[in-house]
Amino acid sequence: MTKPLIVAPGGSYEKAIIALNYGADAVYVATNQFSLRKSASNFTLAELESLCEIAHARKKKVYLALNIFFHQSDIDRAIPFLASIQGLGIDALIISDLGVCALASEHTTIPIHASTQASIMNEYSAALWSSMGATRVVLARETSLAESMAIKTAVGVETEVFIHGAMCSSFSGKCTISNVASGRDSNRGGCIQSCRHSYQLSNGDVTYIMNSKDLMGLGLVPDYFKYRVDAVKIEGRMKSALYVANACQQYRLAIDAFADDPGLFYEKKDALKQQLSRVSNRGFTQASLARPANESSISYDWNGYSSSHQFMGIVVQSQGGKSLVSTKQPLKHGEVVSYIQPNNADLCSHTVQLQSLLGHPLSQASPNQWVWIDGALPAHSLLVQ
Amino acid sequence: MTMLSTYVTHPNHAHWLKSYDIHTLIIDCPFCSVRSHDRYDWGNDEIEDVQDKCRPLFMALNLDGLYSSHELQVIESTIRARALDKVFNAFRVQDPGMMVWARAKFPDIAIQFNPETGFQNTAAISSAFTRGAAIMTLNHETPCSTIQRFQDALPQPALELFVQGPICIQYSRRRFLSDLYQFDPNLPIRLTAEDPELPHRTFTFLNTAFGHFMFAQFHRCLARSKKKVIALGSMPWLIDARGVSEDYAKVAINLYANLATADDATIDDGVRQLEALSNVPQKPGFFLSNQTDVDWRDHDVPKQNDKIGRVLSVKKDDALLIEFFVEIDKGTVVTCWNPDGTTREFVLDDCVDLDGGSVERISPFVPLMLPKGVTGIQSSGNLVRCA
Repeated sequence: MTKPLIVAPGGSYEKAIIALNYGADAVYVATNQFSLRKSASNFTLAELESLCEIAHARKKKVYLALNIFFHQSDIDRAIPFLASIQGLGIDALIISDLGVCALASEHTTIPIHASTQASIMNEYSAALWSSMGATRVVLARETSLAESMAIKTAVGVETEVFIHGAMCSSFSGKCTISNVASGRDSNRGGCIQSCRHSYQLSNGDVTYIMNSKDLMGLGLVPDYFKYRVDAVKIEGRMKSALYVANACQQYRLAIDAFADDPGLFYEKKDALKQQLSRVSNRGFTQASLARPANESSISYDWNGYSSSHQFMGIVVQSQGGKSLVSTKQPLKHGEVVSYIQPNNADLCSHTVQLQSLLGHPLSQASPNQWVWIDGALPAHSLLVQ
Repeated sequence: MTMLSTYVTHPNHAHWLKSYDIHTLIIDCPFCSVRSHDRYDWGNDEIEDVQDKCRPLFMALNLDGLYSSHELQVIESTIRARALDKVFNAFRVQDPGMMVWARAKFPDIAIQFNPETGFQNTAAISSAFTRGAAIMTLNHETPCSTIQRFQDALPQPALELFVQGPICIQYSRRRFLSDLYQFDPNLPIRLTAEDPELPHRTFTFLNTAFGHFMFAQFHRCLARSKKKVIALGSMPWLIDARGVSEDYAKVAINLYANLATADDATIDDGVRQLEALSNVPQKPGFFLSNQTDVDWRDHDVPKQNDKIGRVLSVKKDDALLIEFFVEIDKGTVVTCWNPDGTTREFVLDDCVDLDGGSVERISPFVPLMLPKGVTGIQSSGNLVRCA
């Protein structure tokens, strides 16, 4: 049974490493040029090359998103940029612009994946991209899993289908609300998420009418196998390392369980869904994976994100019976925190004994501070509360 | 004389449309046209009658959706069953894949490509013509200076300019209004909507069987930009009056048909009429300039690939912790670009590893401590080589 690859977001070097450690088969990342997540930390070319080396050593892959709609002024910069990334070891470029697809084919030998921004819904669109050199199509999120297999069968191209994360309420690439309403280009990394706002309708109603719940396709993992999806995508380059780790871990467990023994998957399914819910979310929907998304996919009464766990910090490395932690929230000496580990989804608890980098006792640590804590926790463990 | 393209929404409109020089008449059909406001189902004799009266170069069936493979099978069989390929000589498509579909299924039909978004560079536009587009409509975000570049760079580009009408700014496959109110999705619903976070902007929501469409708070109107429009040379001008009124369509068609010879007062009068008939501001939008690329984050920060490292941790009375992405020598002078825009130069001396051992050659991606700290450095700062 061929397992679909898990493709996870790498919004920064740190998050990409976390994704690979928690079960991703591939990470998609970007430099600060030509990508839709302009506000993410993004990568320098040196970081990108290093990440490729780390990923390849573990037989994993790195995809680079060049998924904006290119303006004419970008094209002049695109060709030297493509030349500069040719030798870095990137496994695929994620592209939404047919012109850039042609340029990438001409100026690099890096495989091309058609982005979900290309809104590929049918075999003819997939065939067009395939004829332009794309080896994989990331299908529009409006495409069902059954339709994905029809496309794969008709065209012979690899399919990638979203499995988890935030959803555009529109076809991705077919929304310019941000552009017109606020002067920021939603298809070039400037989306202000107008679809998350409430709207006062002319009939007097006020509602979050377009506020999509987040996608959770875990319950449909058997269908991803049945419909021979080549890769499943987790959305979220702007999300926290905890979100990335948690999503990668639960989908790794789900996919491996189903491949080993479908019965085991059904035993674990509810627990894995519960684990996914512990990190910040807008409520969940299967969107259009099985049938067209309807009113149950919208969070009309928005009361904020829900989560049961707060992200406190990352264990960067351990040595000499202590662990170096990069904090995300204030930590207090003597505080009891939980942590998840790359190879264990169950929460363990630990009492924090803080030391400064120079080894001095600390009563507390601020967010974004690096400190030592007593105890050799596994590297890349994530502290939560 | 500039030729006009427009959507004809009722057979009766032929009697006044026939006075104009028409490039393309576009017809919405309920089985396939996704933003049809009124679901008027044309008979073939009515289509032929309009063609006979108006003599456009093209009668185009509007296939403006993003369709699933199954929907395309239904569309193809409907076209064949109703012999629509005999009364239309063009298909107007949004999905570039539809060019492949049309070539394969109806090779004698001309393809008019209106992608609505994207296709804002010569490489992308060339790819559309390579795939069979006979003409491509420029999207509303393309400024005139860029259009001029397209004209200069592309050999005989068959481009069409959208000059007048509501601007669709969102296409969703979800049917937000009929889902919310549990109405029959086959009956189009229109409401206006305001976003309290963007006050005084009234958007239009249209819900059809094919999805949800949101329209901008103003109409595209290039009449007052006459000189710039005409300077772009001969290309068909697209007017969209769907969802407004027949009177609006008449005024718009007449205004643009005579734009080249109209004086400013006549143009102003026409635009005022359009405003009154639609109750919506008439603006050029991004035609004059598109500043959406201007971004405060781009100012006064080092270029991404100039960065050689970053600040990991700064705390009073503790070591400064930094990391480099490249191998670097001890003694190098670096500059820290702080998140607040300030900068601070410092020398990489007295560096130690996490165990406190002295470091002579700094390896990439290995945290490095400066035990005495450096004043003026902020957390998350970016490190670059000092010029």
